[in-house]
Parts: sequence; C-alpha cells; structure tokens
Amino acid sequence: MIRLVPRTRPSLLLQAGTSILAVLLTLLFGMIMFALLGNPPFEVLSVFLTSPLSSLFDISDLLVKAGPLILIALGLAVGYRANIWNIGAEGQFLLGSIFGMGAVLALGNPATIWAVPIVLIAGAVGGMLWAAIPAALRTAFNASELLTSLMLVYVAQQLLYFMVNQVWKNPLSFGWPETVELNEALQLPALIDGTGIHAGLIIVVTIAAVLAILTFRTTFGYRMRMAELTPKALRFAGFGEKATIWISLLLSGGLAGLAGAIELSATFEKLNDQFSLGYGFTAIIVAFLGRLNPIGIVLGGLLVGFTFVGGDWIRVSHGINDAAADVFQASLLFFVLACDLITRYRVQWVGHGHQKRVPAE
Amino acid sequence: MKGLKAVLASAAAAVSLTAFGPASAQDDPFRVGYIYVGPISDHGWSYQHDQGRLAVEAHFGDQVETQYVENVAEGPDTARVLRQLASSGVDMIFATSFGFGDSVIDMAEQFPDVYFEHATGYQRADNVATYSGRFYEGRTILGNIAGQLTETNQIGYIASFPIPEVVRGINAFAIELRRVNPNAEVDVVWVNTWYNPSLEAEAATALIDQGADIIVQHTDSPAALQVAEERGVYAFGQSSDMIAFAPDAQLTAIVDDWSQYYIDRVQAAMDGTWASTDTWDDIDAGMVFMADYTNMPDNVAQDAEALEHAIVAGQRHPFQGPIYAQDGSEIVAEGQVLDDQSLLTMDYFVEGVTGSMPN
Repeated sequence: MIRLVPRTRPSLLLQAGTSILAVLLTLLFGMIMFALLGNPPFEVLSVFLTSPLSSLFDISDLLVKAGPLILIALGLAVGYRANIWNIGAEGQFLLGSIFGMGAVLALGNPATIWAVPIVLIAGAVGGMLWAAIPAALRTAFNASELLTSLMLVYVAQQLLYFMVNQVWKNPLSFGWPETVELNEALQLPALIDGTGIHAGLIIVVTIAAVLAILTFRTTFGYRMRMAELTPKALRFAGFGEKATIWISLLLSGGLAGLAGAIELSATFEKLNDQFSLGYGFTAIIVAFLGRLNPIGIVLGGLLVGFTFVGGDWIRVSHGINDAAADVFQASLLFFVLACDLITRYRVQWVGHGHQKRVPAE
Repeated sequence: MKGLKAVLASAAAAVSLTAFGPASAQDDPFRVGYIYVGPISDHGWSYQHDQGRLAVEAHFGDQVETQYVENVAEGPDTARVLRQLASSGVDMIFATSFGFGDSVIDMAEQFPDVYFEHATGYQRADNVATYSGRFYEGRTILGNIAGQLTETNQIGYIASFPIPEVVRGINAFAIELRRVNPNAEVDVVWVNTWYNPSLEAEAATALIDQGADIIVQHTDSPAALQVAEERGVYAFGQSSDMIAFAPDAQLTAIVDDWSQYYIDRVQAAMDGTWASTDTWDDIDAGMVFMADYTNMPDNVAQDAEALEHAIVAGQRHPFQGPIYAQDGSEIVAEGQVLDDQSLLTMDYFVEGVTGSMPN
C-alpha cells in the first residue's frame, strides 16, 4: 500500500530537483514514443525544444498563445484557492468575445483607438455576467458551480454560432459564419512590427503583477494564503462565504471575458465560429502548473505556449501526427504535475506486515 | 541486460547520427507542402488531397519532396502552420480548405517567393491561385438516384457550413430530385464542422429517426455511411469512394481526383510558368468522377449513367430552368441556365429543401 503524507515545508532543492526530473521523464517518454513511431527521436526532440525560441516569429507565437492562458488562469486561481471551482472559463471567454463584438458594432465599428477600452471592458462585463449565473445558483440554491459553469460553456458555444450565423453575419463573407472585420483602429497594435506580439500582452503582464503584489505584499493576500491552508476553506479571510463565491466567480469570469475581447481585437480581428480554441480549459492546467500563484501562472502559461509552438513545429518538420504531438505536449504537463506531488507529499510504503489486523470474530 | 545494451547501442547510434547531421540531400528537390483541415484518415476530403500528393511524389520522384500537416484548424492557427512551412523552405503550398483563405492571403504577402494554392477559395493574389471541382454535377446524379429510390420521400442531408459551395450542392441535388420525384423533400441538418465523425453520425441517426431513407452528406468522414449501413438505409459517399465502409448502403460516391491538377501545377511552378489562375474543373475534365453505381436496380443505374453522359456532353446543366425558390417564385426561367457568377455566390435554397440556413 502507498500512502501520501503531506510535507510541512517543501524544500527549494527538492522543488528544483523534481522540476528537472519532470523534464527528463518527459524527454525519455518522448524519445520512446517518437522512436516507436519511426522518427529519429533526438532530432524530433531538438526541434521541439529549440524551435519555439528560434526566431522572433516563434517567440511571438509562443507569447500570443500564452497570453490568454495566463490571463484566464490568473482569475481561476483566485477561486481555486478558496475551493470555488469555476471550470467554465471557456464559456466566459466566448461571452467576452461576443460582448466585445457587440460593443464594436454598437459603436458603429469606429475608426478611433479610443473605443478599444470600451470593447475590452464590454468583454470583461460579458464574462462576469456569464460567471454570475453559477454564482447566483450556488449562493441561492447551493447548486455546484462546477457543473453549472461547465454546462454554460455549451450554451455559450451555441450562442456564438447563433450570433455569427444569424445576427452578425458579414453579408460579404460568402455564407461563411463570421462577422465583419474590426476597423483597423480597433485592432490592438503589434508591439514589434511584423510580429503578432500585441499590446494586449501588456494588459496580461500588468494584471499578473497586480495580483502578485496583492497576494504576496498585502495583508489581504496574506490572509487569503492562510485561508487556503485551512482544510476546505470556503472563504477568504475577512469575507463571508457568499462574498467569497461572488468575488471568485466574477473575477475569474471577468478576466476570461477580457481575454476573449483581447483575442477578438488582437488576433482574430473578427468573430467567427472557430473562436473556441479551448483556452478556457487549458487555462485550468496552467493554473495548477503555476500552483495557483500569479508568478507561477505566468511561467506555466509560457511553458504551455512553448509546447504549442514546439508541437506544431514537429508536425511540420517531421510530419509527426498531430495526436502524437498532443500526447507529447500533454506528457510534459502530466510529469510536471506528477512530480509536483512528490514535492508536496512524502510517499510512504505501508507493507502488509505492518497493517494491524482486526481479529476475526 | 541484453535489452538494455540494445537500447544503449541504438541511443548511441542516434547520437552519432545527429552529431554528423543527416546525409546531404541531392541537389535541392522542389519542396511542396500540403495542409489539410482533417486527418488523412478521414477517408474523404483530406484523404483524396493526400492521394493527389502521393501522385505528385510518384510522378516526380527525386525531383520533388512533399510533406503534409493534417488537422489544421481554420483560424489563427492556420497562419502559424503556413508560416512554419514557408519559413522551413517549402517552395509551394496547397491549402485545402475554404476557411484557410484569409491566412493564405496574409502569408502569401509575407512570403512572396512561395507559390500558394487555395482549394475552394475565391481570394487570389500574385502568388495565390485557387482551384476546385464542379462537384455539383455529381450532386445532380445523386438527386436522380435518390428521387427514384426513396420510399418515404424524405432525404436527409448533412451539411457543414452555409457557404455557396455547400448550398450549391444541396440545390443541385434538390432540383434533380424534384424533377424525378415531385413529392420528395430534402431535410438539411447543419453540423458546423467539416470533420467530426461523432457529430456526423449523430446527425445521420437523427435524420433516419425522423423518417429519412437516404442520407446525403457534405462532410468529410464515412461516419454517416456507417450509420446508414447499420440502419439499413441508403447513402452516398463523399469526396472518396467509401464503399468499403458501407458495402450495402453506398449507392455511389462523388470522388474528387486532384492528381492531375497537382502534377500540372507543380510542373508549372518548377518550369517558372506558374500563374495565379482560377480553376474550376468538372467531370469531363476528370477532376470529379462517380464511383460505381451499386445497390440499386439496373434501370436506376442506367438512368444515372445516361445523366452522367448528358452532363459530360453538355446536354444537361445541373442548374437549367425552370428553377423555383423555396417560396415557389421562379428563379430561372425555362431554357435558361445559371451562370458561374450566380453559382459562386449562391445563398438561397430552391424548392424542395425544407429548413433554413443554420442557426
């Protein structure tokens, strides 16, 4: 029998050691898999590990992928610390994009950069409203936010299809389900010419910094971290249970909605039915990779962005099947999280001989 | 121990291989990349494009090197994969789905020396050509067969996106269906995807449950045919001959054959005679052909063959009047045919189609 005993104080050395172990295990797993698939394992691995940082374009791709993941995960982590399980960020992300597009069209798709903040705020409001539904159901009827937030993802997807197919369809799109393109002034500009590194990433970094300061440098953050240590904490220190539910869901929904509006303005530049790329779900992994800690989440988001770009590259360079690329990508996350367990728990082997026997009657 | 030694030996061999680099290639083969919206194992649309790619390899041998990336999402991810292909030294790229269009145009601008070809698209540039097949000719033949074989007079039609390509196929089918059988109706279900076998199968099941006894599809996998086979109704293969998946259910299939086009275009690019063209080839040109007519009485098969010959000979046009809209008003008068421009922008249903554009 195996028993996991929590460590009181995970040592830094152990944390560093297990991270390295996770990477090594991933590499070993990847080599075996690629070799079995008939590819040169070292070549494939070196492409996976070097290509995401090999050019400005690839770094740009990495950051563009990491941006929404980080922003969504930052919000989710706040709730997860208090055991509020919003797993419907994908839906809140989509509502953010829909509200953002609604603002664009309501303003007449204006050629002024000053409308951009309105579009982004509209997105955040959309995400908050969508997250308010599970919050209300939880506080009023004690309905599990885990189920309600997830179910609302599917409703959000149908709403998106309806908007792009019926209400906002671009008459010049030849029937393709998409809206008109945002006026160029409303598209978040590139920070470096010719790349996809866009101004929305500044917002992501700023919010991460604010949340990091809040968590580590304020009494509120200190109390919040303490609250997390108590078993089944369902409240932030200083707040009641209901307030904690509302704060968690509105904050995570708002940030997911903001991420949707940023994606609309910076990368898609229009709303279409392919808008749901699963960022809201992947962000859950990012939140845990980052140990629900703002700085960790930034690093976790970058790591996942890295695996997206590396995974695409091995498909292009060696014709690796996309499913195999996904498995490899996922194996890295799996090993990181599995090794994380070792840093936080001691594994105790409990042999049969030591088990106390209940005397038979 | 032996096992461990073997692993170590192969690892050492792999290390030395990387250390010395791969064997140098013969003088720079012309490199061609393909991106597919589904997996090549869809046995439909993407599979047929990959068959075309293999034909290019077989034809040119060492002169050409090809590669493909499958399951590429239509959206910002398209641009990333295109850029990775172009920046890794590919000379020519075939992008084989409608939704890749915007990304193709963007990347063609960034990589002016790469030849781009976009299947079923409408946007061209100096280094972007478009190509497609007149699949709707095949749809007319399907309509003829379905009109004769249906007993419930209800045809289930699994549609992907309401783009002119798909709408045109539905209408070509419905016009001939109603000409043969004025009581038959086409029930359209939109699945908002090109490739999603479980959704396609669900749609087929729902249509059969509602009384459809023939299934037509404009999606990429054989999932609907497999459902038809199980439920004992008829269906048509799409893009590829899918008889292996439904030996008792497939009546025929509209097969896309891209081989000749791909060989010609690669040759033109290598020769420097490539130009940004818009190709729309038909059954006569060989870009589209019909699989064997199976599982139907001889007289129906003969009618289908006769219609196929009439279309090839130009005696029959899939969109010749009279054609009526859903509300019964006349769209095309007797003796007239729709021109290509009208076909390329088609956004309405004809009489006989129930249901509306998707929501």
